[in-house]
Amino acid sequence: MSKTDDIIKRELGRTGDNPPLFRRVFVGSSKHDQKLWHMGGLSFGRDGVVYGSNDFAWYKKEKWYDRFSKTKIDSKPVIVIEGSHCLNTKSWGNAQLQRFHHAYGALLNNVLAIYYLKKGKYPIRPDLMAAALSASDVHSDRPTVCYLITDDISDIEQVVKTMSKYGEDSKELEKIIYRIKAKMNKVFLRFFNSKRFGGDWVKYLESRDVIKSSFGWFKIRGPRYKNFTDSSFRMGHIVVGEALITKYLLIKAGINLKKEPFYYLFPFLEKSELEKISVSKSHDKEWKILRSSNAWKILTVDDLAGLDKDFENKLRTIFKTIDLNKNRRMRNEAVSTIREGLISGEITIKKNG
Amino acid sequence: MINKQFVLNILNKTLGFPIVDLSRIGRTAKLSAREAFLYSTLTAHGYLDTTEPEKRFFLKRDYYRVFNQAEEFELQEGLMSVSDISFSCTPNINIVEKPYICEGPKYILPIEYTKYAVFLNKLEEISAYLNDKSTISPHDFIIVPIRTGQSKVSEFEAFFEYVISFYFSKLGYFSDTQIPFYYAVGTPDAAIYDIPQLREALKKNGLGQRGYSLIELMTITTFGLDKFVATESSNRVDSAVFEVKTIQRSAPQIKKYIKTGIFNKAFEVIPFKSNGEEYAGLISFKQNGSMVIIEENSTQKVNTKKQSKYLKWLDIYIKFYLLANLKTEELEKVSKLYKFSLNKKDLINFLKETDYNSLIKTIIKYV
Repeated sequence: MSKTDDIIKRELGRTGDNPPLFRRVFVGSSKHDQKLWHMGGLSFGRDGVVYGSNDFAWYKKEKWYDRFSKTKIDSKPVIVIEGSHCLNTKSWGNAQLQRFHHAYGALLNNVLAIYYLKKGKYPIRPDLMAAALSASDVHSDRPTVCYLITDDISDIEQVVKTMSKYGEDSKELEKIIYRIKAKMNKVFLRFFNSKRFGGDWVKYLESRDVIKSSFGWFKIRGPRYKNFTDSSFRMGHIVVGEALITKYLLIKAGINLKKEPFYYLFPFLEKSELEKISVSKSHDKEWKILRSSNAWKILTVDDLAGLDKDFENKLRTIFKTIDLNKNRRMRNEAVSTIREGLISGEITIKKNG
Repeated sequence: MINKQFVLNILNKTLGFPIVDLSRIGRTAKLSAREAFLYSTLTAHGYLDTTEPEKRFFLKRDYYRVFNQAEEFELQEGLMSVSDISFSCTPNINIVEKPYICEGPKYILPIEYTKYAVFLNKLEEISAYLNDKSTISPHDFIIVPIRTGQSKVSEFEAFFEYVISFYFSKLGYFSDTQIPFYYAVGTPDAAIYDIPQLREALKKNGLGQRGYSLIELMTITTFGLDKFVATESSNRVDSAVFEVKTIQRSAPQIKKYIKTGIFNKAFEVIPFKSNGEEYAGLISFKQNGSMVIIEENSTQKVNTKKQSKYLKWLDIYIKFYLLANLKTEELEKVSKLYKFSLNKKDLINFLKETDYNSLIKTIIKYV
């Protein structure tokens, strides 16, 4: 638990218990939040996969069917919040992605999920807003159960107080949630409809390294073996965040992922390395999310056909050791070569890939 | 072995708090409300309060963050809200939330448990008993949870940070725990500084002749003036650093802090350890609660230029804690009076230009 988590928990705590809504938060004993909801914690899972711990929840003292444990329990979660202070940190861009999946787990359990990014120097990423809206459309048919993202603590206060006063599915709560969703949509649309993209999904997705080929959609990322094995990189968190956001942006763009698959391509990784990571990270939450999803397929350099031999050799050797920050140009050129090859059809996926 | 008796022994023997046996509750250490505020904040042991989700109201050192790195002035969310330069978490705000914080005395009550759910039930029982049968309010208790049957008790590191902090502030030092330090060097668990000009300014303004934890420096307007007189110490050092361990038997990362050249002395703080390492002194505790200080063999090599630069930055950092005696509206008045805008840059410049004495004089107008 980071130091700033405590500060955010404190801020959220000011809203207090609002009967019949009661708080669940762990300040004194930090590891309890990692337990699953039915075991008294703040983590949610679905189909055997656990989606990370949250910071705060309001619950009702009512019977609830817990889909993960498949048991009926006495506390029904109604609002689950993951908080972050990253809008005030230098790594604000990546850091926002890293915790997207935490509150997402609550949404998959039919609970109103909120990702609260405390107001800071930097803005909330528009793609995050769009992905949360898209995930809400996919996973919920109740207007008051969705995935909200906000930097305004008063939004959360309003949601809690309105739900407490009028009920979980009330028209009053619906109105508040509609307003917050409209705010989220506006942030995304302002960016998406800007001169840069003009509302063109292909252009917009390309800006996120998501490209269309005749096989489907490719998201290209450059993690290497050591990025996954060195815990200081938090690469698992970033990669999962990117995967989920890309998935929901593609859905928002109207793409049917069954017909046009989403390939998550790691060109600086080899298949054997991927397998080694799978063994060493067999208990890692983020790795499990990454490998268990049917929404995307992970590809490595070994899955690509049509690569120039010298270039392929470089991907397997030089790119494993050089400092990619210092050699950013070289990295970008490599990604660009792959991107262009996939678009033109010169680079394809091997038949067993 | 860390158990409730050991905790009470330290509070009594090393820090001098009286032990009070309360019938049907158990043995406790008695502290004033101000002392208890510091204890609770540095240890993260909460006030008994069954209206809170964990049956306790918590204060934490992290709530009052100012900077996250030494010699930098990047204001962090904590004491102040960065977006609008207003106070976000100060004792003034804490006592509005929970007025019982400044009503004393308080009792430190250690409770041993094996299962967390059983522990929470026990807190409910104690609270119900106190509400029905006692003149002491449940909120006058600060609970020390001690998990038994576990070999690992890392939760207790903060307790020893508190002990060090309080012990040395009584000797006239200014102490801090979880201090902002240098990128990639880590965060020392505790440090103490000799700052005669601050001690003098506090004394001049009737605030006692002693040192303080930086957390206590925020409590002037909430808890009133403190006339405590420190034990005189003739051989003070400019600074010392401490690294606490309750599981491991050594704390080699202290070498990284020593290497910065800022600290004159360095101590590992490890209960029940009898011999120090060659790289640092040792502060240990016996089962009867007495503290044993083993000085290091040689004094640390100080880089005077670096130390002076660091201490200069520390002055600004400390002034934020003094400033936190004000409410936001009072800070606004001060900014008008001294003609500076309430933004990060101007506020830091104001603190750079204002000496301790003038700042304290401004603050005590609001006591």
